[in-house]
Amino acid sequence: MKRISPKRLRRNLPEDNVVPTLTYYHLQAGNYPTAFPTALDAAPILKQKHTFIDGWIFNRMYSMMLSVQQYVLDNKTNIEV
Amino acid sequence: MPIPSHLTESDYSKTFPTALDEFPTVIDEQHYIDAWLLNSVFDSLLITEQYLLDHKANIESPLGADVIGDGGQLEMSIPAARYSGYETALAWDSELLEENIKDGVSIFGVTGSYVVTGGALGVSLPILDAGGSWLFPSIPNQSLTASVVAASVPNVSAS
Repeated sequence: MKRISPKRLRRNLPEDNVVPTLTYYHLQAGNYPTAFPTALDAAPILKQKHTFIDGWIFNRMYSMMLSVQQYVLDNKTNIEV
Repeated sequence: MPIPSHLTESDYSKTFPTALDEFPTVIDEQHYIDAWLLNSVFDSLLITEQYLLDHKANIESPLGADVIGDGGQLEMSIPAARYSGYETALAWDSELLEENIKDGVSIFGVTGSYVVTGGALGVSLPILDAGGSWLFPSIPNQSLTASVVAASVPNVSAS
């Protein structure tokens, strides 16, 4: 996805295939693979006023939390000894 | 309608696994949904994952059971496992019997009943007195006269 240069923004010139919201961009879920409990998940880092808060961000948080909980449940008998 | 405000990340400390992390309470129309709010959740999730991974070997190790050694084995190996603290390890020997232990002596809770007796005569060990006679404490009023032929091989005859 193409970003608009500050110069073009100032002139407010239209351009095809350009993010219309200044410097905002979308993070891609595919760039953050999950690996827990074999290894750490890859978690996105959001930047204030730069990254959209997309639905997959929340979904990823939920799935990571569920993975942690599932791992704890799978080993509950050991943990609670 | 109130003007939303920004919550401040530094007001909420991360202390897990020493203690719980702190999270803000976000209120609709009062707080902005800032990027750090989401990053904070991911940070805590990753720290939790890392903690579990660091202790994975302990968490996933099998539960230990009671250990019973082989007969006569003084030391035994304890298998790698997680133990609750209520398991036991038992060393045993089939020779550890009441009749194999001297009367009045207790070994590992087994009180002996074996009475020491002397030789084929069934008497206590004889004592050689100053006059050259063998005295048998368990046979009253009886003694044997010995003539020593060799220092270690006495020639004993009844008198």
